Amino acid sequence: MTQTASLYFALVRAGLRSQLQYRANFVIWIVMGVVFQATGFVFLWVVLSRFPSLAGWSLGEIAFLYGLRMLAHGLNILAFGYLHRIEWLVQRGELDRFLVRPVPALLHVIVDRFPVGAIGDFGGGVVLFLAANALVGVAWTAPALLYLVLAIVGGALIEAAVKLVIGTLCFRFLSTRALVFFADDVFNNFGNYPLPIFGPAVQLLLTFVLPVAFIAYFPASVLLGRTAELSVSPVLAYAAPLGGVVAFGLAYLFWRHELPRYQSTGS
Amino acid sequence: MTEVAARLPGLVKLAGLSAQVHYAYRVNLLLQLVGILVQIYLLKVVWTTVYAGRAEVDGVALPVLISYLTLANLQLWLLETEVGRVIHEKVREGTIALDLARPVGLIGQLVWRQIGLTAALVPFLAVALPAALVVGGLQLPASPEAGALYAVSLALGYGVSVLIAILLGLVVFWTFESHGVFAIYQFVNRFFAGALVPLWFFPDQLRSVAELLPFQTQAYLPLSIYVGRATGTDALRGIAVQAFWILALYLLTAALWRKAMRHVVVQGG
Repeated sequence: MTQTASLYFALVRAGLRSQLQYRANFVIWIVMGVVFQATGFVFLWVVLSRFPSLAGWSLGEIAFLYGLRMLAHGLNILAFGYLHRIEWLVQRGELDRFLVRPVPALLHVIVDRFPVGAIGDFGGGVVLFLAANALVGVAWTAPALLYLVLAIVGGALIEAAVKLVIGTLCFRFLSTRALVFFADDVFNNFGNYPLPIFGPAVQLLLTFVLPVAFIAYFPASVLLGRTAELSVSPVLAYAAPLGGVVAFGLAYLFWRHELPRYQSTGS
Repeated sequence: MTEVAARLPGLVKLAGLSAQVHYAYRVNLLLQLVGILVQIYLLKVVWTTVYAGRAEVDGVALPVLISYLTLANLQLWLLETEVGRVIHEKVREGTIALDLARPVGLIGQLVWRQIGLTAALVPFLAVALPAALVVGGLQLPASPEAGALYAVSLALGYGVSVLIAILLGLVVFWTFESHGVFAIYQFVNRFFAGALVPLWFFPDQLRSVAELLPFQTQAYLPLSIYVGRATGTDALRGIAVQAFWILALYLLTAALWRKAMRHVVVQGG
């Protein structure tokens, strides 16, 4: 376990160094990460400068939710890399290289390319979250802080779980790009909003089918003391970080189960 | 002029070929479309929520706003350009040397290529429009004149889009890297075009900034005409602003192109 961890960090450092060869590119990708998230937030900021609230959520509360999701999203990509590249690796037979090495194949997939853009996502998340925090006045007790950290890790694990499951489906269906794009769209678009605005049916889908609700909406509701308006039991919201662990555990088992199905397709 | 006429069949052929390339990637196109539809749905939900039952805000009824936003996002998809990336690849791979040797200037080749790519998108509207009607909402133009002026304005918006793409593509002659630049452009453009929030809802200062930028030509100006918010001289003024940007960007592109030609470094080979 500790050996795997030290290998992970060594490989991540190597990946980072290789990306740093192209300085201008490195900076541009970080800026891109920030700009992508910024346009989404500036949209909400402009809307809420003209209208008082979005389904009862003030600008500060929306920013808090948005920041929380950016932190989870940024952490997910920093820690797990671009899991959608599994498809690319499978289609080119590149996974062969990883299977013959002593390190677990998934670890190689994760560190295959350092996700430069995610530095922008995560950094932007930190800034937005701190700014939002100044507006909403959450009482940061020790349990609240602990819950925050666990929620960010849990959110990162949920996103990783969904991407890993989709990536794993490549062993059966060579192309899963449509699903990856769709899931990404849903996470990036719907994850930043208080879910009640979407109505009961979509809300149910975003809780139990694509578990977007667990990433930021549930944790933000808990920290902002808005659990009364949830359409599910508050217990589920408090347990959101655990949901991430369970989801990723299941996704990993699925990966292990499907890996023997991999047939090299490269030439 | 006769020279151009003589070359026209070749250019049309080039446009046709690049249209075929697009068809080879039709699954990709449909995926992009799904992304656009998700975006349209999200905008409808958010705006419906903030309207909170009010019939209209600042004189804009909700169905009019939704129609504006639906068309704005479809339109940006239609106006999207590939030529910037094409220049990027040509410079990176060194094939630009071949293109420079051809009888038609490179800029002309690129423009016709883009026209072909865009033409290939048009049939997809048969799927996109009904789907957008369902997830978003569409209304007819405010009046027949509004419809006609909108068509003119959309065409001018397309001109601006192509010129910006070529301009960004030319940057590669100096940086050799531009994938991130195109992505950043797309995000900034979407916002300042008014495809998420129409400029009339922008806070004053942000609005003054948006009005100084060329991006408003991509959605806000044509659609203000379409929904009947800009009529008469206002509509004509919008079209004049677009014409100004075409001229300004054309001059800038031409100047940058001359500089790039003195600077060209052919890679690979």
